[in-house]
Amino acid sequence: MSTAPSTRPGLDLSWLNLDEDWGARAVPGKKGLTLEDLNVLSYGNVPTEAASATMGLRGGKPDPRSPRHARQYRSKSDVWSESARLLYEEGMQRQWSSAVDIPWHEIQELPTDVEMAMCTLCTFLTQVEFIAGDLPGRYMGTVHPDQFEVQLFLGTQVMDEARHEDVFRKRALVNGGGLVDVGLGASQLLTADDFTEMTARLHLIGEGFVQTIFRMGELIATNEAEKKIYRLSAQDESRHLAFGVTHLKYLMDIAPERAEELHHYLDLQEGALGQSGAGLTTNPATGEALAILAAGGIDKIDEGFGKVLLMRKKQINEYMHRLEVIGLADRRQRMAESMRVFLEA
Amino acid sequence: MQLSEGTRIRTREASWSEDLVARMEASPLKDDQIRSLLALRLTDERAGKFLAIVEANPESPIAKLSLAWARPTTELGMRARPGPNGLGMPEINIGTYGHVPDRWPYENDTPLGSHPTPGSYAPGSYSVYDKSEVWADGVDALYEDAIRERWAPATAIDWAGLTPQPDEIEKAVCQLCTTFAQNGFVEAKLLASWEERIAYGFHDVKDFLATHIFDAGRKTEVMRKRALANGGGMGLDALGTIYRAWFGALKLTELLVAIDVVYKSYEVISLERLAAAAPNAVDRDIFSRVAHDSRRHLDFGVRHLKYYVQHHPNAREYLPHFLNRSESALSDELYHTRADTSAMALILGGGIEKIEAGVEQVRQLREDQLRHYLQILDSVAVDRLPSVNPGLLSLARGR
Repeated sequence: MSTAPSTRPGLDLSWLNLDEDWGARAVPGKKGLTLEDLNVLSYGNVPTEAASATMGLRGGKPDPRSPRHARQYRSKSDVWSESARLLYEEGMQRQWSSAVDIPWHEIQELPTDVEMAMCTLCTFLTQVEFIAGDLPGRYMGTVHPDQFEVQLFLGTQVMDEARHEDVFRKRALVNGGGLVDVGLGASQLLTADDFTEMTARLHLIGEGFVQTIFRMGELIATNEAEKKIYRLSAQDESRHLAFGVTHLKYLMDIAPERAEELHHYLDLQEGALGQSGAGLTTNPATGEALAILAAGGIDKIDEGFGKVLLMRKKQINEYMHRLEVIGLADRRQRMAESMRVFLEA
Repeated sequence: MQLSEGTRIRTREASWSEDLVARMEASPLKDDQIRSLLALRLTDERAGKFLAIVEANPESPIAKLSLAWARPTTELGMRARPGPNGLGMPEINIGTYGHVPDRWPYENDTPLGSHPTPGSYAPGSYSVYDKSEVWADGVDALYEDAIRERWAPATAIDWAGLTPQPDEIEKAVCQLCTTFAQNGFVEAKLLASWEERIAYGFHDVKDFLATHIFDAGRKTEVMRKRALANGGGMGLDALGTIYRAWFGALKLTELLVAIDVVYKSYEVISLERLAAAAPNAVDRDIFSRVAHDSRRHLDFGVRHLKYYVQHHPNAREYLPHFLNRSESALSDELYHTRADTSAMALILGGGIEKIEAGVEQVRQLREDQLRHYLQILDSVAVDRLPSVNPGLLSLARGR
């Protein structure tokens, strides 16, 4: 039947006769009615190449009059992750509130060096977490409606990063300290000019390295409030990281010819990590703060640097493991020298 | 190295021993580093332990630590306290950390209350630096409201409670859900694309917009789920003429006016009407929840518009153009998308046999929406009635 609407004003009931893919009865599972459960009839079929340049969501009946928009990727492999639906639902279920879910009253007076180290780390995290939201925000605009689940997931990431920005800001302002002056942060990530480049540099490396810090929260936290901040933030970062890994894995499965391009993005980002002052977690102030926190005070900072070095090794080894999952196991031989020195230290 | 006079005075204030000071002067440490140790209020004993680490290995990187972060140029001594709703954003907007300047001075990712370190200041891609182009009083509280009022469609909706309904009603619900889902998808796209343009000093707004993007995604999710959960399916795509005003917004305020004032003032009333009229309790719940979110977005849009009107030097010149374009796009969308109009008529009328009553209810809806919209503009000192889009007037009059 025709889905062309009348061009005259007044009532138009032709849409009542739409009968393609009618009779959808998605059934809730154990986790409620999830996006996975919506894969009924043909609604779960994500085309490898998007056909339309309009904003109609997958499964809708096109209106031939709809204006076109040219900003979206057409190829599924450019943005897709097989885990986007799952990660979106997890993101929805695991939202938390920095206002009430953190036991702020647990924070007690700390020695000034430890408090200032914590404020320095929080300043850095406040600074970089916005970049980690702004960049996916930019690329939400490039997701085609046929792959809308990816955009939904990125929307949860933008939310998560805003919450991280706010929770670290709150921590810096509750216990007699404040923010400190900022270094270069991670704004060089904003130079990414492609979805996959963004994913490789932000999700895989940036988020991965920050997540290692969060997971070391037990080591650097001084109280239950901070431990919970790191625990909850790590949970969020795991989703972002998983998105990056599964997108890149999908890309390598579908378009292995892009492997060298991916290596090139990694070359660029790994190189940046080694540049003092421009790295993600390696700028001098953050490194010094981490060492003081890991040691419990500046008077034991040598022990702290030993722990930070272990953390660096952990960051790099976990990163290499993710690359193996993606299908780039040869990266270990190709990693930047500025990164290798941490493993050999 | 000999300590400067000022640093020496501070060592005395810190009760450091002469012996410690002498060891400091004999060490590779610089005056700046020692001033930082003093700023960290180390006791003689703890400063001595740190010094011992340096003395044990004068060539180690520890002897060359910057420690500049110990003496920032920022305001310290902050002790924010939780309020009745916990430690919210309003509770930490204190001192210099709560003072949002009329024009944000930094072009990089420096947070409000902080400053760039000399030598480490590279510009980012931001373009919205004027407070009047972005600000909304009370946005910090709206952000916390959005977090507190979060819900997850997968589990918050009683999907099993959906019951079969007359075919045309089910199709009408699915048609409207298709449109709302698509609108949410495009809302999120546009708002997200503007996030990176907003300077860091306006983090309260950036954070609120993140909740808005999240809400828009949830609208897409819940509406699609609803369309596919009760024997129906996706309907006819929204026409999308309204998106021309969104994609075409040349200023952030124009986008916020288009989405959060013009469109939302209409969407809220539609959703609330559906929440009252839908025959199924599950549908009423869905429309009610989305309407509640939409009210918050409208609230933000109105607060921003109020600030813009009062503070932007060219507001009276620019705003009519923003409104003209947004109203025109909305009017065209409503006029030419008759699938949604008739779907609404079917639901509000109560079925195909009462379609004429439904048509009158849709006309009443358009009138109520227009009144609502004009009242909102009145409330921010914008008398729009004399120049409102004639298409919106015609729709309100049923012509």
